[in-house]
Formats: sequence, C-alpha cells, structure tokens
Amino acid sequence: MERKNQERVRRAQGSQPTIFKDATTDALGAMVMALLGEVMVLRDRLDAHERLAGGYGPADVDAFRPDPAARAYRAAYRQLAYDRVLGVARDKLLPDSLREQRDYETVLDDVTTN
Amino acid sequence: MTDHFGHAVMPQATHDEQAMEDHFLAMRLWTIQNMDPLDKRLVNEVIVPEIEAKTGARPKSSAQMRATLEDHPFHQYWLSLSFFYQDQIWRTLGASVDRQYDTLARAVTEQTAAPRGSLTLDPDLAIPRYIAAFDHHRMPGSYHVDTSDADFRAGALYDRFASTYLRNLNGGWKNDGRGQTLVAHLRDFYPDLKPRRILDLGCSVGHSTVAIAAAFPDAEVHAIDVGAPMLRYGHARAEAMGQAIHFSQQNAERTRFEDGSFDLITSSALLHETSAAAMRNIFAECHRLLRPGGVMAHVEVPPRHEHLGLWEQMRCDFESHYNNEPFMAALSRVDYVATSVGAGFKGEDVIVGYRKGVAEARANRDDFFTQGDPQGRTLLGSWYVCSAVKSTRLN
Repeated sequence: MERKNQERVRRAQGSQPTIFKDATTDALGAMVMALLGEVMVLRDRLDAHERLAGGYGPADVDAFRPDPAARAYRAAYRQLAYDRVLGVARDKLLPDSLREQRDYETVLDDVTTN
Repeated sequence: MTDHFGHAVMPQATHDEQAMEDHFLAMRLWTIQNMDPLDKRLVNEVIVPEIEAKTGARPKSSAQMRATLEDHPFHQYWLSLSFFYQDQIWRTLGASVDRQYDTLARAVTEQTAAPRGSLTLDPDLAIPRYIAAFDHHRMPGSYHVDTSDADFRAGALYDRFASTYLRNLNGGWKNDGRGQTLVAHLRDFYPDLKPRRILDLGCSVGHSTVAIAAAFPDAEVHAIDVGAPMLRYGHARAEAMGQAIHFSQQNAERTRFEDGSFDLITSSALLHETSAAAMRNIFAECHRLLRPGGVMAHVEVPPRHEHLGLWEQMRCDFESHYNNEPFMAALSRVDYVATSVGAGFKGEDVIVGYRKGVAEARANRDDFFTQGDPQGRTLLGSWYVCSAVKSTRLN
C-alpha cells in the first residue's frame, strides 16, 4: 500500500524538554538507554540460540517463543543488567544524606576502633 | 509465528520485537522499584527542607518546588529514565507496525468485509486544537494522522502499545479494565438501567466499547472519535472480536446525534486528553443527548490533587510537562459535580469518587470510595468515576 506522512510519524510533536545541563548530555543519556535496549535484545536472541537445537535459521529465531521458565530466566538476568548499568548513575547521583550506609570515614572508624 | 497474540488485526511481534517490549516493561519496573522511592525521599528529606531554609515556608504544591527539584542531578536522572524510554517505545512499536503494514491492511479488509457494525468517516471534521497541537503521550502522529489513504497505523500502534504498557494490569491484550470497571459502576449504582442505545465518547480503538457492548448485548452501540486511523482499526478490531459497534468520526463536544437519543453515554480516559472548555462542552453534550432518566458515566485517571503528596503531585505534573498530557494536572483539580451541574445535571444526581479497577464487571459497593490514600499516594489500580442521571423532573 502506498504510504504518506512518514516524516510526521517519526517524532512526537509537542514538548521537547532538556532535562540535564544541555541537549548534548540529554542526547548521550538517550543513546545509552537506546543501547541498553539493543544489548538486552541481543542477549535474548543469544538465549534463543542457546535453547534451539541445531539446523535452524533466522526465521526460527524470529518465531521462537520462550516458555515461562525461559521468560523467568531472562527476567532475572535483565534485572541484574539494569542494576549494573542503570544502578551506576543512581549510586553516583544519590545525595549523601539519603544513603543508607554511613560515610566511609565513619565506617573506617567503627571497624578500626571497635 | 507460533501462537497468535490477541485478535485478528493485532500487530504481531518477532522474537526481537517482543524482547524489546519485555525490556521496556522490565526497565520501567526497575525504575519504579529502584528510583521512585529514592526520588520521593529526595523531595521530602532534601528539597523540602532546602526550600524551607531559604524561604521560611514549606512548599505547599509541587509547582513551588519544581525549579529546585529539577536542578538536582538525582531527579534529572529520574526524569530521564521516565522520559526517554517513552519515545523509544513508540519508535520500536511504530517500526514493527510498518514492517507488517501490508499484512495488517489485508487483515483489516478481511475483518470488515461483512460487518455487523459500521464505520462512518467525516474527512472534513476539524481536529480540535487540544489534539492537533501536540501528540498525546508522545505518540508520533497522534490519533489522527493518516499514513495511507485507508490508514489504521495509529490504531494498530495504540493497541499494541496499550497491551505492552499496561500488560496484565488493565485486562491484558483486551485492555478493557476501564470498560469493565465502568460497567461494574453502572451495575452497582443503576441496577435497573437497561439501555437500548449507548454512545461511547472518544472511543479510540474501542478497548472499553467492546466490554460495554458485551455487557449490554441487546443495546445498539455507537462509538465516536476524532481520529480516522483509530476508527478504521477499531471497526476491524470490534468485528474480529464479534461485537456489533457503529463507529463514526465525530467530536464529542458537538455530535450529529439527535436530542434525547441515548440511554447511556460513556467515556474512558477521554477527559484528561481534552481541555477545560472541551470538558464543559462534553458534559453539556451528554445532557443534550440523554433522554430523561438516562445516565452518563466517565472513567478517568486516578490522580486527585487534594489527595496527593508533593512527590505524587510532581508525578502527575510530569505527565503534563514531559509526556504531552497538558490537561492531566489541571483535571486533577476539576470539580466534577460543579461541571455536571453547569451542564444541566442536578447536583444530587451526580456521583463522584474512586472505583477499584476490576477485570470482570461485578457490582460491589466496597469498590467505590471517596477517600484518598492516607500517605498521599496515587491510587493506581483504581479509576476516578463521575456518573449522573439526567433528571426526569422539571427545573
């Protein structure tokens, strides 16, 4: 079917806020998150390959539907990957006053004197 | 493909497309579990004391802390996680719909070849400014842009998005939780209502309309929306799901239906995507279209300003500032009773409150309540409901 207005549906019309200090930082953040999506899909695709016996092609992987056990397995490694990737910024940016753990000096004091 | 997901016109996912959807859902969950509690503590333990120290007063509303909060690196990270992924979901799902566009086009044609319901489009309908000016929830092309002469892309995109975004929380792929909740509310408060003609306003692809039609099998069901690609898809979807629904392209503020021609008029999550003036017009149009004794019932998003803590107010503002839902924050302050009375309903005939979301419509009065959460949390899982019967008494 002949298509039209393809440019119009490529990007949302409306607010285009800058969240970090400038648009470049925002773009870098968005790229990191986009890459995370690519990595997770790649990981799932690798998982599909590991589950399929030999003698298959790309169409078999495209059509592969993980069973509940496989989905649970994927959910578990996904959470750990987010902890590693997204957790970096969370831990770097969290203000000290909200940290559950006391600052290093106090801990050092504790373990060396008690 | 192995098993087909949803109904006959639902876009289907390849392994990688499904993996990307799973990733989006899981990343959103990670954010909710790992970031939301800390961002809330940031507001209460850092930002509020900081503003109080500077100004001598605690901020009373989220607007009074917005500038300070949005300067904080941790909150900026929270914002970015809550914001960037929305554009990525649309990009991914849009590409998936385009990949299978011709297959879906054939399915739409097949499903509507011998319809039980109907579809009436109005190419001259003016798209209201609150829809035309920006793309709601950042959905590129919104509800109304056609990408072919018989386009259904917006409907297919929205259907797949809804089943991903709200999966298992709003009725699975049927996404009919709001419709079921609305029917439950009607059965609870208007058990004798036996509507012969029903009108569903702002129906989009008919997620709720299908549930309402199934609950009242003897009624003639009409559904309107301003978006042609939503209606073409919704028509095919309803046929695929076996419901006779008459779709037409109309503006809920001013329809072409006759005075007093409906027994029941409904909407599901429509109002927050309109405007204050449009909401008044829609309520007045409900009053005009209902026969005396007829009922209007609107199910809306749950945030109510008077019941929200500061962080939750900010979360509601986020939808307006970042997610192209400009009326959502203002709607959380709207007095539905006053709006109903302004439209001609009598105050004592109006019912407003929260209703617990249900997967199957059952009349349970315990599911209806008017108190907010004692901790100021948003009542996710519930909907805000406004219903009113058109009086049979003279003024």
